Amino acid sequence: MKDDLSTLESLLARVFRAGTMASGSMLAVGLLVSFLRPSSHVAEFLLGGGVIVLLVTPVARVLASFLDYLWMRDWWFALWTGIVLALLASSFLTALHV
Amino acid sequence: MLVTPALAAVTLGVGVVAGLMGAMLGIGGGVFLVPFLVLVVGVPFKAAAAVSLMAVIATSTSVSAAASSTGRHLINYRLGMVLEVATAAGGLLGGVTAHMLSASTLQTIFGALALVVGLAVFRRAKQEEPRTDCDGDIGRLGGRFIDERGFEVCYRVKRLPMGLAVSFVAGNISTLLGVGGGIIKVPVLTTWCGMPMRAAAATSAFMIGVTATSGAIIYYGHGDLIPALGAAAIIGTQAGSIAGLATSRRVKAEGLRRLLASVLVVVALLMLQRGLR
Repeated sequence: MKDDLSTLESLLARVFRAGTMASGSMLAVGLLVSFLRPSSHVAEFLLGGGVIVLLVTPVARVLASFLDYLWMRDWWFALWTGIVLALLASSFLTALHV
Repeated sequence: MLVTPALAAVTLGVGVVAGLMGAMLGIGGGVFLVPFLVLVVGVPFKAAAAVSLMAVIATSTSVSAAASSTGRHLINYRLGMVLEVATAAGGLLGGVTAHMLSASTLQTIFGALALVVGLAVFRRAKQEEPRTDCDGDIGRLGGRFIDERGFEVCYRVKRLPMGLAVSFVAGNISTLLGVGGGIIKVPVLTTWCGMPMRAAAATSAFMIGVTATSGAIIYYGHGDLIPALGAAAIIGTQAGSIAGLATSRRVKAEGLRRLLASVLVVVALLMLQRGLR
C-alpha cells in the first residue's frame, strides 16, 4: 500500500506543481502587461488563461486520483473519488449554461 | 472596476497573509480576503467571493504541491476524498440554505460554531498529538506520515460521522460566504477525529481547493471575477504559501494549535459582530 501511495503522491505532486507554476507565471505576466498596456488583448488572454489553468488543476488532480484508484482496483475509493469528480463536472456544466 | 497598481499591491499583501495562514494551518484565507475586499476596497460581495475562492484554490494547490513533493505522506487522500463528498453535498445544498436563512443569520451561526470550536482547541492545545502503534491496525481511513524529526507517525481516524457532519457544514457555508471551510475542518479533525495537527492541516489544504473549485467555476461563469484583482490575490497567496511552509517546519504542533485557536476566535468574533449588527 505504501508503494501505491508513493506513486499516487508523486503523480499528484506533478499535477499540482505544473498547475501552480503555469497559472502563477501567466497571472504575474498578465498583471504586469495590464498595467503597462491597459487595453492589451495579451493581458486579457494571460489573465484569463492563468485563471482557467488554476481552476482546472484541482479537477485534474481529482481525475488523476480517480484513475489511480481504478488502476489499483480500489473500487471503494474509486467510487468516492468518482462522486467528487461528478459533482465538479456538474459545477462546470452549471457554469456553461448560465 | 479599475484595478490600480496600488490596489493590486495591497491585495497581493493580504494574499500573502492568507497564503501564510493556509500553509501553516490548512485554511484557505477566504475569511481574511472577503471582509478586506468588501469592507476596505468596496468590491461587491460576489466579486469578493470569486477572488477569495480563486485564492483558496491557489493556496491549496501550492501547499499540496509542496506537501506531496516531500515524500512525508502528510496528505491523507483517502480521508480527504470521503470528507469531500460530504463537503460537496453541503455545497450543493448551499442554494437551499441561502433561501432559508439570511446572510446575517448564517454569519451568526458560523460565528457561534467557530467560537465554541476555537475555545475547545485552546483548552486542548497542550494535549499530546494523537498516534497509534504503526504495527497495529490503522483502519481504512487512518494514515501514516514522517514527522519533522524523521519518525513514522500513525493514526486512526475517530468519530468519522462528526468529521462528515462538519465537512457538510463547511461545504454549505463555502459558496455562500466565499470561504474554503478549512477554518472549521482543521480544528475538528485535530481535536475530535484523532488526526495529528500537520496531517490535518495538509489534508484540509488539499480538500479546500476542491471545495472552492465548485463555487469558483460558477462565479467565473457568471462573470463575477475581476481578473486583475484575482491575479494579485493569487500571486500573493502563492508567495505566502511558500513562506508559510518554511515557517511551519520550525513551529511545534502545540504552537500551531494555539495559532489556529486564536485565528478561529478572532474570525468568530468578526462573524458574530457582522451577523448581529
